Amino acid sequence: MAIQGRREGVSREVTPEGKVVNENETFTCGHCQHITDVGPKQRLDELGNMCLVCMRPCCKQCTFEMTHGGGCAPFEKKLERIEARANARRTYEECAR
Amino acid sequence: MASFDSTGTIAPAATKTPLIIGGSATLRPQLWEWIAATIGVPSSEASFQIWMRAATALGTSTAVTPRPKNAISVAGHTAGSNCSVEPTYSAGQPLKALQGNARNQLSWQALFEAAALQAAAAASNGFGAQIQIPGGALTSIDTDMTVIE
Repeated sequence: MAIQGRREGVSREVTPEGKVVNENETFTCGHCQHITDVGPKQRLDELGNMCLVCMRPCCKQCTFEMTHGGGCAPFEKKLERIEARANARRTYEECAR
Repeated sequence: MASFDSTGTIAPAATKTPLIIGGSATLRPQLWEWIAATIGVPSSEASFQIWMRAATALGTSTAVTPRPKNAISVAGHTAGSNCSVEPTYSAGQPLKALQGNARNQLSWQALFEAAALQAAAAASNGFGAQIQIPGGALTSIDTDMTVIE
């Protein structure tokens, strides 16, 4: 399955002889970065859904949270919060010295 | 943008980390490729399982210098092999689980940027590959990661 017409990622199992015994396309959740394997002929709504705010595919858990009042929470926003916290801590530590 | 490879190994055991990647205060490392395999003849056909997890503290490991693919870049992120003190991982489900026969090579690859995993630009944040089930792996488990920064 392709998301927006593109393959997102791929996971493989390859034997020592170089034979691919298992290959799945994957997508990365735009809200939590969980990587979901997409089986043959599986549809996105079986595995999660597309967030129509950030236009990224989302895993089942994030889809559940979105549809129960959680709203769109892009992973970039989470990274910004982590970085702001780390910067604040570093500033306090420098002031304390 | 520069691309780096790092390799880590560890003796097979549950909840052990062969490779940990750490960010820095100034850049967000992006994980594009992850390969896991075992070294040596497996003791049985039992499958091994390894998880990719987000780390919030990097633990203690043997430092590994990330190898630049262009042979000249110097990495801003850090890498560590054979963790003697386990990193602190985010609770819950892994970002990705790989499992398969210990004779085989398991891999995951992002095909474009939105699919790559990103770590925060903070020194204690990163990604770790943690063994969950060693299965038939006997000598060591080897894992490689490709990071772009």
